[in-house]
Amino acid sequence: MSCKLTVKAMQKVFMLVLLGVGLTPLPASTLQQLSLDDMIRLSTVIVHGKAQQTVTGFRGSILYTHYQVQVSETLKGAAGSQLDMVVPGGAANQLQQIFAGAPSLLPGQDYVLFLWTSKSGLTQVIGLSQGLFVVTTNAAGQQIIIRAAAAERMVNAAGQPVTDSDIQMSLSDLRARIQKTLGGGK
Amino acid sequence: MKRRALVRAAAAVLSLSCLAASASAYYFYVSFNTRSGPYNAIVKKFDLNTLTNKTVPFFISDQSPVGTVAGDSYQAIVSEIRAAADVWNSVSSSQLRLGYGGLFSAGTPETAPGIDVVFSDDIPPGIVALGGPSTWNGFGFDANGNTFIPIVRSTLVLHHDFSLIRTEQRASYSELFFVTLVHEFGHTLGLQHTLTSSVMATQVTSASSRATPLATDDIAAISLLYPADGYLGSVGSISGRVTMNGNGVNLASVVAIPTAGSAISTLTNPDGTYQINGVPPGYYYVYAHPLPPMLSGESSPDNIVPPKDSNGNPIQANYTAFATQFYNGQGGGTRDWQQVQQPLFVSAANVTAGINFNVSARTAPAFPYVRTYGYTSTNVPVTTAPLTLGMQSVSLVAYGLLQQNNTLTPGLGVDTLGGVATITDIKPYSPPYSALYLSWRSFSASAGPKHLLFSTPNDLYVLPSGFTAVSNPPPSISSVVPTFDSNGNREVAIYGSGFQSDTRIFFDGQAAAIDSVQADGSWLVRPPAGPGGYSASVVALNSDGQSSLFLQPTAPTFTYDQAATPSVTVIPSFIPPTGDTVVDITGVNTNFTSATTIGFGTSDAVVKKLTVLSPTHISAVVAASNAWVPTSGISLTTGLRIISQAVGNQITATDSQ
Repeated sequence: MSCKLTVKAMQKVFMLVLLGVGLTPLPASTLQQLSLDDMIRLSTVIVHGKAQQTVTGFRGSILYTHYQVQVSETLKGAAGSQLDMVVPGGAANQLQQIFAGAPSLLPGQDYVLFLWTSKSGLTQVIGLSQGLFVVTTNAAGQQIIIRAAAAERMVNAAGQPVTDSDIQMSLSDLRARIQKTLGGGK
Repeated sequence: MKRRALVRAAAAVLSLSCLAASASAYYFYVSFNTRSGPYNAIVKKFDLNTLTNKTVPFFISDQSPVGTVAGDSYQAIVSEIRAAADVWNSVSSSQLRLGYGGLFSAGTPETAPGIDVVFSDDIPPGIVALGGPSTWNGFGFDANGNTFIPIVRSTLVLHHDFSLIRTEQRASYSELFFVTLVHEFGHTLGLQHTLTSSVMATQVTSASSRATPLATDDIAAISLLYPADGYLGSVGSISGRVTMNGNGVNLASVVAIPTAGSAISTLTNPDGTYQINGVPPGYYYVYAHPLPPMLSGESSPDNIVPPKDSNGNPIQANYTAFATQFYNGQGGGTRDWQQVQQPLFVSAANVTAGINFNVSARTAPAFPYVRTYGYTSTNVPVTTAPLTLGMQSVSLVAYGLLQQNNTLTPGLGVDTLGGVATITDIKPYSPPYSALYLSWRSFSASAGPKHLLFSTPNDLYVLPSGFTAVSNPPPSISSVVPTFDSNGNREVAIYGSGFQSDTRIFFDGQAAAIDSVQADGSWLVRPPAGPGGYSASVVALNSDGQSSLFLQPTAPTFTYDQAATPSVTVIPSFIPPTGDTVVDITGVNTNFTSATTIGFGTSDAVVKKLTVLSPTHISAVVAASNAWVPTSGISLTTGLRIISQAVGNQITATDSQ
């Protein structure tokens, strides 16, 4: 097989591979990587605010840790000044349930949260931890959103260090991106 | 002589006790009852003493999923879940068994340990499945006197709406769906993620396949948690310490890897000490590497739950990154496996101690993750590609090795552990694809998993099971033809290629009995029992890890003959919560076999014995606890046929698809 033919064949194959890798499940409890635009489209609401852990309780077989989010800005959808969201797993009445990859939100921390509400009314961060962004202020006084946890240690599913706007961007750019992705509406 | 024998016996006992009380080995959900060394891990696991026949029952929600691919069914999904559980039952060195306890209804109260498999509408997009254990605050003691935290219940959560799962993983017979089930069951049993390309590896590097889902690391993990008699004396250990500037490194990964076979690993304790247990006797290279950086969406590196101290606080890794190194008898190690003068020999029931690493800090690993794909003759991408021995030129596609401008990482070197193949070409793909081809030739390897090494001048990345050397092409099914045997019983002729003497044929996850091989090469099989008119997907699996799905991602189907709807009557209508009760089940149009299972959908009613008296008559001995509330009813499963209804009523098959 010549090298040229190999490359051609591989290009065809590569499109299939790309389909696979673009959606390659991330580790954890098994995750499927969502792009920023995916998260914008699939989220029920996107809010900016602070979260405070409240109670932990079962729904069926799953223990959920509840957080009350004080909403300072709604970027997509309809949310009041506060909303209840949950994270799978937690501890209650001497019982602990673990789901690897479930995020833990810190009190007082400023977040942008891509949230999804199920048919039964349970609101969660989209993609376990994927829809959780920390809001910080840069040296120029601009609000920046960073995927939660140490952004400098993050890579994407292809193993590349992530420094692009999918993970770190200004809050104003996110507002514009949401507008654009949703076609001008919220 | 006598004294010498005594000394030998004492040494053997010491070695065994070292194994039994060892802190590390694999990496479980770990707590420590101390804030300083020595560290003895307290792990989470099921208490075998509380389980009937050391079997943890699992129950599957009776809420049938929606949005499945065309031709898929609830029966098929239940069957694949049962098959995934059976993967863990196949480990003979583990005492723990998983037993199918039937279908359950939401809200069924349960007190005894078990695993619930639920189809939930509450899983957000971006999650395929979740699995994890629940524990009470409190401790138990295993047969070796080790403290552990008993798992009281575990949950495996799947989407109720399968259309929210990506296409490649949506079919219940697919490679990815099945491997995900096996992985999540591992979590429910107390296993965490690992970094050795096993089924408990994250999917970024998992080399697991439907045909050969478990690797050495997985087998060691479940066997160390629930060791069968004699297991601990049949395997060895490697121990040592990982330090950086004289300080112990917490949560470094230490891996033992043979040139032929799969790897086994553990993570270090907070003081840098480690012990890899469950190592099959043989020769191993040993290397230490850092946890990878978090992928976007992870809540911790590799989503590994860090150990907890005596106050319940997590003890995080105390480093950013360090250079990976092989052990070569000197503290500084080496990045070149060829500089390792002699691989370590590990013998049964002994600890090979003093395997220490002095690692150097880095700001980031050169390669956080590398993912490889190959492609089949029908252009299906396959992870940990099967590469046929003796081929002169084959290619892999590897991710994670390019710089952001799509150029090769400077100084990139690619090698195989043991020199089993040589690289002939490395080509980066054109943007926007950030991958490269690796072309290989001159295989000198035996069949099995082979390990790739990616080096830079200052670092090394080892990808265990980066590809699989195979001797034959994958199986392929060209047609599935119904026929009859000489007695008029239904048989199915499977036509295709690549069938080997060890090929197995599955109908929606249930194995078919192989009757004979015909002169034209087709195989005559007896399909598992199925409902009338039911359509099952047919898959062939070879023991070298290859599947007919490698060539045909959409499986061919077989449609069962139309059949009368079965019904059963169960006597008595209520099982008293005292002692054992004999339950008599008579059926009409049923086909009970030795493979028939009965479940009450709750761990509070256990089938202790089941006797098939005829295809229409079963007798079962059932023990129910005081807590049992007969809300779930009874379900009888034979092959792909599920009969489910409330106890005490006439029961009719749920043959709907």
